[in-house]
Amino acid sequence: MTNNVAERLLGYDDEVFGVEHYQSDVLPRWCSGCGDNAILTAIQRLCRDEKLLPEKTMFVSGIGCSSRLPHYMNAYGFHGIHGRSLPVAEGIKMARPDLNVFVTTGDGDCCSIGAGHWIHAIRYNIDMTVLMHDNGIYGLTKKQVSPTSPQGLKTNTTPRGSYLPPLNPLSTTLGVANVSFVAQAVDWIPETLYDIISAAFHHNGFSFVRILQRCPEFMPDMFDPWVQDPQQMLLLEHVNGLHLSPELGKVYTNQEAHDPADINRAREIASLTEIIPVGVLYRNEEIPRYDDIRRPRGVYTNEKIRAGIEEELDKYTI
Amino acid sequence: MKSATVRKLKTKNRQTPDQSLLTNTVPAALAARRDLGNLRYDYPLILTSDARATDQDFIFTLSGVIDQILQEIAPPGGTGEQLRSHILRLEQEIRTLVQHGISGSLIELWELAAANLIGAADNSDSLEHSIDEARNALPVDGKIGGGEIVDCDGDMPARIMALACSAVRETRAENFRLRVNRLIVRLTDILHADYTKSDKARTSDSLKRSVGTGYEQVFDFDEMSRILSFGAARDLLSKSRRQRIENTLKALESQKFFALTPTPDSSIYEYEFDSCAVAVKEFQHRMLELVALIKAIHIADLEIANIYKESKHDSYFDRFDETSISTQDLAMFPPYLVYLDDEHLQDTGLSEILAILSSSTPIKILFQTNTILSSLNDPEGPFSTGFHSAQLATMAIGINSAYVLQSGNAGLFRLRGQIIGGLNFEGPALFSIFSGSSATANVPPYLMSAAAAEARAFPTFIFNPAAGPDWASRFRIEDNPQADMPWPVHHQEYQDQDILRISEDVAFTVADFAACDERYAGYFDKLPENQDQDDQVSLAGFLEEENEETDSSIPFVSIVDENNILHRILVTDRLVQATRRYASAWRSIQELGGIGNSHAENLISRERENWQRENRPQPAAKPDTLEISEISVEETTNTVEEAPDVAAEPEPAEPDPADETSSDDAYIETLRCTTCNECTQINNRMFAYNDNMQAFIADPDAGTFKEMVEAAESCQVCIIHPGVPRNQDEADLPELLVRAEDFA
Repeated sequence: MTNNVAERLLGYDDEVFGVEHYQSDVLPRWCSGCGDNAILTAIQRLCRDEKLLPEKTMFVSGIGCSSRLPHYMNAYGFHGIHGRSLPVAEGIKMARPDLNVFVTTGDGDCCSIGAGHWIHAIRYNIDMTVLMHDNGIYGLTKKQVSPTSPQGLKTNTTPRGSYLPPLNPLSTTLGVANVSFVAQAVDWIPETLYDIISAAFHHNGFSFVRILQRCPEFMPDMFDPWVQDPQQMLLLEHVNGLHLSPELGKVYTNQEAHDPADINRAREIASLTEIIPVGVLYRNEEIPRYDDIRRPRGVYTNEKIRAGIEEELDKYTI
Repeated sequence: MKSATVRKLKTKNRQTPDQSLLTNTVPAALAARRDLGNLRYDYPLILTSDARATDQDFIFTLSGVIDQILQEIAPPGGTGEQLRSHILRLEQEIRTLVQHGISGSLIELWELAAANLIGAADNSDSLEHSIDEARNALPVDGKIGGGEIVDCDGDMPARIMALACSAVRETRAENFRLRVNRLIVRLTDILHADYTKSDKARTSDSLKRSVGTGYEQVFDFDEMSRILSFGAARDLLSKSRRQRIENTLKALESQKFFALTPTPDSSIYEYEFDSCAVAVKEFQHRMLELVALIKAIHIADLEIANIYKESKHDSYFDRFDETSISTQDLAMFPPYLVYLDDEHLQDTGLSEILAILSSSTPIKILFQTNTILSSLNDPEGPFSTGFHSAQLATMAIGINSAYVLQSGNAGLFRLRGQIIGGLNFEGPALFSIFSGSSATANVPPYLMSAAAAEARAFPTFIFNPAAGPDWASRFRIEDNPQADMPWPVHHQEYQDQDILRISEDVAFTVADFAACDERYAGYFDKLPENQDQDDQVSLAGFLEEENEETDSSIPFVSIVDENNILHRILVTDRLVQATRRYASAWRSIQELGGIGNSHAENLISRERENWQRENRPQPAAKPDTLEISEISVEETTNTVEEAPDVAAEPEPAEPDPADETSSDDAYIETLRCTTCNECTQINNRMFAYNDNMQAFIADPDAGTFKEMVEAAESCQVCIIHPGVPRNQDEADLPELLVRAEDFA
């Protein structure tokens, strides 16, 4: 009898994947300098490093610049309707738990028209990785105010400036029952962007990553103070969270040891306004997952399905 | 060791063995436990009759079930006291019924015991109410309420093993069904998907059948067929793949190792045998089918994941045979169980047993021992095989790769987890169980088997090769009473002839065990009437004093007769020898189990001597020398403390990659690149992406300094540093150098 020889012979280890395996034939049509490029690269690197099989990987999106991402991935994609990426992804994961499900959504798609789905998706805690590209504007439709636009921002729909303070996606997510993973990344620190997406991918449950993303076309200066001054960034480091490389640690010296298990401190960090926190704010692997609770325990053979349908229909037989 | 002369003296007056010596007696240490009906212990057991029982819940104790019910219904404190009292009486009544040989399910005996108690009670209302309340809390399913309630007897080891084996089989069957049915469904889906893409599926007749009769008038199936055929996909399964999937499906569906539905299926293989040879033969006979099935499962996994590559996997599966099977593969299938007992050692059984235990087959052997100590009446006399059968487990440990569990019948419930562990162990296993069943015993099998463990005649141990690499992790003896002692010692009190309380600690030896059974009466004798009581010494004490020349002492054990009168009986030489032999065997087991290991003790002793020698006080020194010595030590200490902390010196900082680069050379802080495409769009030969899609300067001479400066200005995160122009003749250099200063 042999041990694991078969596994080695049959496994995927001999497959060599590069970033190019995950690039589709469609070239990204985002503007030059758009932060979405960095997010796309980080995802493709993750797929390569995790050796995700393209046919076992699913990218679901709604509408917006961010939601174009599935077109640029060599994997399965579902470019859905506005605000409905999460219910689509939930259905996919329930039906095909073997798939790696990613959701790319934007601040308008997720926090405005899709807000209802967003809240319940957090509570359902279905195992998927949600990347919310937050550039604070509707860019695809040429600059309308979004729920996360800074107060006073002049846009096509608010020529006198927006009236309300922005919604905080981190605080909102952390306030929902059953929340299990919340992180924040920025597109201009690729190393942490990759690490955070990787942590989210490995989380057992619904992982929500807000990615602050620059829009050079319609919000060219929005993040300049933070991009140009690393001291304005707060990097959250912890053995159960983000690990900084020595090189990066020299550039971003403003760091805090934050235990992702501490939800109270996570909420305080989420509320910071002057400084942008980057890292894993909260993580709890013990939260029940709806897809796990409702996972079918048996196999639905054709005979079984037929018998079930017959049984149900028999109830209405006159 | 005492001389042969002394031993002769002690037995010289012995007549023909007095068979009445042990009639209706028990060893003094067991006198208080003689009537088990009054005790609350882990028998009787409830053996679940639920075929779906898993390896976690196949066996229960009556007292455990009653405790659970009381915890549920009886409030703590005085309020629940009456309820507790009533239900504990019921439990005792059930136990008594079982001891009287009444069998049935727990519910049946519950009802019978309840009727007995209520019928005999003066005020039965409250008792009836309590019993009803408890009855409502009793699970009535096959697992507990419907389970058979049984006492400890000679059949118990086989029954428990059969149940445990069935539970393990059921657990594996459930996992197997889930896995294989899923594979069948998914493979069928692949074939079905292929069919729907075929021309055959798009014929009008086929389309008509798929719509059904309800709406067949609504559609034009000819037209539907024409349209669907027009855009039909042509990526159908290759012939070889289809053939492979069909063969795999056939292998999965026709296997006989498990039923694919929970319903009983007579074509499924048997896994329980009463002969080693037959079990081995069956295992080998099924090997070809097993190999084919495991191969099919692996192929199915690959096909479903769509990663079967003929160039790579065909040759592997062509050579697939029993050497390709892993232990994880085998763990999917049921263990084989062989039932054996003492008699198998009389013929060729031993070699067959050892052959199995030396193999890597999942064959488990239950070896039931009914006799540990041969009686003087045995035809084999002093060379009988009784001792060998009791030592089978110790021999099996030497093989080093088989799971071995030895226990008395009484310990089986407590070791149920270890029994399951042995059945789940990837290789062979031996369960050596002493039943305690004897027609001539004065105590029930439960006490007999417990006494064998106490007396070290049949110690409890488990050897699990999977538990770790060394004896400390593999071998376990802590289930024995007072495992660190040569014999367990019990405190005993009784009254002497003058009604004075006598209190003493008494060891329980092999002779005490022998005193439980009348067939061993020949090993004992009456003490000589003129024997001085000061010369009488307990057997344990006698063995301890063996090296001392106390020739006049005579070993005895204490027994209690049916009138609770304490007697001393002489232990004969043969039993002394047997006891010595068992004591020696137990000593070896202790050493293997880490208790009093002689190697360790010798090492400790040597190290202690070394330490004492090295730290022996020096002869008193002269006062001035002593002062110098003290000063010297102090200075040395200070020197050490004040010495520069070399380790604390900061290590040289790792050179920054940017520092290494000359300021004259252009460079990019690649790690910070956000892949925004700005630079590559300016010049994709000068700027390129690495494997992580982050930019670097591929060729500084592939463009102009102007392009370098423009790229630096366009970069969203300002990580491009243009350096100095490589071509000093480039146009507008003074202006470009000024612009480049911001990115130096």
